[in-house]
Amino acid sequence: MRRALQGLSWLALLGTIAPAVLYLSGGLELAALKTAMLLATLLWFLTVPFWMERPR
Amino acid sequence: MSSASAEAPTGPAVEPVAAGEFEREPVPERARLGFRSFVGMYAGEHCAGTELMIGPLFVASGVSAFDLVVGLLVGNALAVLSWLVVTAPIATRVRLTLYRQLERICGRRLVTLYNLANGVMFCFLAGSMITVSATAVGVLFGFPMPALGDAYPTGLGWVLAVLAVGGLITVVAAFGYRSVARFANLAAPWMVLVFVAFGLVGLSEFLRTTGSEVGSPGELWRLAETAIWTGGDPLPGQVKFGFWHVVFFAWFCNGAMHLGMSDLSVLRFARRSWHGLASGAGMYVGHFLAWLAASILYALQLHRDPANTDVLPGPMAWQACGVAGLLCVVVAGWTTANPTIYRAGLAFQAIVPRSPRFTVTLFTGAVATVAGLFPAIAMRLLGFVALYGLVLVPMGAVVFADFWLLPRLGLRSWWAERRGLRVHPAAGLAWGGSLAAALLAVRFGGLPIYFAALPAWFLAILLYVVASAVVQRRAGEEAAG
Repeated sequence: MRRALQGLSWLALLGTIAPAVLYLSGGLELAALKTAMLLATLLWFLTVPFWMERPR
Repeated sequence: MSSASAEAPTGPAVEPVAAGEFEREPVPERARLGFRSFVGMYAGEHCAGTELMIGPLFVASGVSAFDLVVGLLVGNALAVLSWLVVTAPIATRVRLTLYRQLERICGRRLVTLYNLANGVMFCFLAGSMITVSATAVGVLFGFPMPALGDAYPTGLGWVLAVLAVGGLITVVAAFGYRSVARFANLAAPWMVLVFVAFGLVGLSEFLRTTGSEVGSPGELWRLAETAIWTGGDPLPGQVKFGFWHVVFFAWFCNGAMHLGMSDLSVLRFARRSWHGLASGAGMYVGHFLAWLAASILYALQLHRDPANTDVLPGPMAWQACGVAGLLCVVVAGWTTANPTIYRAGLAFQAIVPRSPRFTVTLFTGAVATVAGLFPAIAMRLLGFVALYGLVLVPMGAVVFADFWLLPRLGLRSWWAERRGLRVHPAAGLAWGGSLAAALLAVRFGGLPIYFAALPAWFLAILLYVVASAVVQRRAGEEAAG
C-alpha cells in the first residue's frame, strides 16, 4: 500500500512539472496546463500525508 | 529568504526530534542526523513566500541578465561557504543553541535585548509573508491591491483580506504549530516544482510574445539579455542593482542564519560539520531557481504592459499556473509565516517568561498582521532583508571570536558565565558599536545597506577581541590586587 501511494505521489510530482515542459515545447495549451497542474496538486496532497514523515 | 526553523531538521527515515529538546545541553550522539535530513530541510525552508517578492524586485531594480545570474551563483556560493566554514564547525563542536551560547558569552540581559531585536524583525518578516498570501485572496475577490510604491493599506478589501489571512495564520500557529510544520514539509517538494513551473511558463510566454526561437543556450542567453533582464534604470522608488548588489544580497539575505549563527540551533544536530554544505540545496533551489522563476513572471508582466509595475505574486501565479499557482502562493506564505510567528513568539517569551506561549503567539501574530497591512515592508523587501541581516550578524561575530580567537590570544571564552555577569560589556560594545557604525555609514556615508553587514561582522570581531582583552586584564588585576 505504501509503495502504491509513493508511486502515485511521484506521478503527482511529474504531473506538476511535465505540463510546464510540454507547454515550453509547444505540446500543450495554457488552459490544459492549468488543469493538469491542479489535478497533480490534488493527487500530491491526497497521497503524500499517508507515507511521508511516517515511520516505515 | 527564510524563516529560522524552530524545529530540528527531520527526514523521512529519521525519528523527529521535538523542538525544545536539548535546549540547554549539547545534542547527544543518538539525536544526531545525517546529511539528507539537512538537504530536505534547507531546500524546503528557503523556498518561501518571500521568494515571490524578491525575484520581481530584482527586475524592478533594473538588474541585467549577467549581473543577476552570475551574481546569484557567486553570492549563493559565498553563503554556502559561510555555513560550511563559519557556522557548522562551531555548531558541531559545541552542539548548543545560539541562545544558550549567547547566554554563556553575553549574559542573560544582553540575550534578552537580542531576543527583542530578533522578535521584532521576525514580526515584520512574517508580516510581509502575510502580505504575499493576501495577494492570492485579491485574485478571488477582485479588490484593489497595493502598487509597487504604496506604503499604506489600499482599501477595505485589502484590510479585510490581510486580517483574515493573518488571523488564520496566527490562530493556527498558536494552536497547532507542529501540524503546520509537518504540512510545510509535505508541501515542500510540490512547491519547489510549482516555482520551477512558474519559470518555464514565463519563459514560454516570452518566446510566444517576442516571437523568438531558442535552439541553443546562446540564443536563450540572448533572450534573457534583451527581453527578460534587460538592465537599465530601476523603477521609481527602487535602488539600482548591479553585480555586487546581487552578490551581497544573495550572500547576506540569510546572514542572520550563517554569519549571524542562528543556524547553530539547527546544525548542532549534524553528525559532521561538512553537513553545512546541505545549505546549498536551499540556496540553489530557493535563492536561485525560485528567484529567477519569480523574476521571469514579473519581467513578462512588464514586457506586456510597462505601466503595470505592481508586484503582486497572487495575480502573477494565477496567470501562469491557475489554481495550482494560487495555492502555491498561499501555501508558501502560510507555511513560512507560521514558523516565523512561532519563532518571534519564542523570542518574546524569553523576555517575559511567565506569559503563556499561546498568548504570546497570539500577540506576535497580531503585530505581524498589522505589519502585513502595510505593503511598504513587502514592496521594500530587499532593503528590509538587508537590515534584518545587518542587525543580527554582529552577534554571530561575537560567537565566532569567542570560540576561535579568544583562546588563541590567551583569553577566556564564555566570560559572562564564568563571572556571573548579566551583561558582558565587551559583547554589548561589539554588537552596539558595530551596528551603530554600520548604520551611520549607511545614513551619512552613502554606503548601500546591502554592503554593510560584512564590514559590521569584522568590526564586531575586532571590538569584541579588544574589549575582552581590556575587561579580562582588569578583572585579573582586581583579583591580584
